[in-house]
This record gives sequence, C-alpha cells and structure tokens, in this order.
Amino acid sequence: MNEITVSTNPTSPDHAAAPAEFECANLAVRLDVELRGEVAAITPVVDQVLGLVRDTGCAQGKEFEIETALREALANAVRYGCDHNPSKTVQLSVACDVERGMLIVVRDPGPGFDPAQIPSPVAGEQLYSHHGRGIYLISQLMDDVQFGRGGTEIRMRKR
Amino acid sequence: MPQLRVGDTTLDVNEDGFILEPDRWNDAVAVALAASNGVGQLTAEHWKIVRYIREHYVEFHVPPLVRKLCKQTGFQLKDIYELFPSGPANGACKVAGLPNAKGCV
Repeated sequence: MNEITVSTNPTSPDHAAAPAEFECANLAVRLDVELRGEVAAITPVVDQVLGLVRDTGCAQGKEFEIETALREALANAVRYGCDHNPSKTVQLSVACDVERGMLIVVRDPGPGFDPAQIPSPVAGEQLYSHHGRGIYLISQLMDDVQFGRGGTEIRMRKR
Repeated sequence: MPQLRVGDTTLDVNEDGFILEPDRWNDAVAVALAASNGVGQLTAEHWKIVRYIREHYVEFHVPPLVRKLCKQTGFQLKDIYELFPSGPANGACKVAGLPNAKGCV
C-alpha cells in the first residue's frame, strides 16, 4: 500500500521540508507519497497527481506532459533505483505554487549516477542516449529539470 | 559493442539497447528485444503498438509523437506504460527496432 499524505495547509509544520525554490506561503497543495519499487505501484500515484492538477488548476492543460514525464521518472526510479524490488521505496513530492506551477520531485534509493555527465539541452543527439533514463523525454516535456543527491533525485517543474 | 543474439545471428546495439541496423529488424528481433528489456511475451496489444511505430518509422524515418501513438492505437498513456514498463521511447520504440527515440515527443 502506498503511503500518501495530502495537505492543503501550507503553513503547517508538515511543509517544513517543502522544495526550497517554492515559497511555502504560495503553495496551494502538497502531496507526499512513498511507493513500492515495482511497476504496479506507479499508475495509482500518477492518478493522484493528475487529480491534483484537476482539483487545483495547477499546470492545468499540461496533464499529458506531466503524466508522461512523471511516468518516465517513476519508471526510472523503479528500474534503476529499486531494481524492481518492492521492498524498496521511491519517494515522490508534488507541490503546487499558484505562480510557478507544479514542482515534482522523485527520489530513489539506488546508486544514482553522475548528473555532470548529462549533456546540455543543446547537445543534440547525445540526449537520446543516456543510460535509457528517459531524460530526453522529460527534458522536452517539462520547463525545468534538475538532478540532485548524486543522481538519485530528479526535480522537474511545469507551469 | 553490445550485441543482441537472435537465433543464429547477432545484432549490434548501442549502450541503451537500441539496434544499430534497423533494416535488420523482424518479428524474431522484436521478441528478443522484448525479452531483454523486461517486456516479456509479446501479446496482440504489444504487437499493435509495435506495428504502428514500425510503420510510422518506415514511412517517416522518425517515431510517432507519443500523443499520436495513443490516438492512433486507441491506447491511453497508462496502457502504453503497463505494456512497455520502460515507456514509449525506451520500451516500445526499442522493441519496434528503431535506432533511437529521437522525435517521439
């Protein structure tokens, strides 16, 4: 069972760990989920996030881009971060900022990779080949994409 | 150079598992690519997606846009990911014998 926490009170202590670049005072909603490291756990979580888009109007009209990028990121986390081991967990945080859109953070327990090895967005076809992590798709669909924690965390934003 | 073994022959693949010579693709290669990419046995649903991507690639030399793939095959995005856990680019396009997923967004 996925552990899901949804809070609509951005001033509560639960938001102390909100993604730094989003102002807590402007957060419309935040969703924190831990999902098992297996493919079957992905769709229910994606449905939750798309529900947020519908309910809050955050990044409205961008559902297809968000769904595709989120599925790619979660599929990577399950495959590379958890090695399809359901006893491992992937962490997902979603924050909605009324002005900056939707921020999605996916963190896995795997060994990660060196984010410095990722080609720049202007590097052309190199983007198509980076360990099959779906980085090309995600970078094309989202407005901002960043990696952290030794490649075990991806942050992506869509307005 | 990584290789994919299909019966008595071998095909070169890149570091991400895409075959380098898409003209050598056939159904047996698709089955082998599926097996080596966690897709498992190909069902009629898999083949519907694979055939569409393949025909699009042969005609236009690029994979279909993901939106177009969903629209033309009648599958929702979540169906695509359930059939190909690595997704339309790293899963379906790979099994369909494309050399990369360039242009699928």
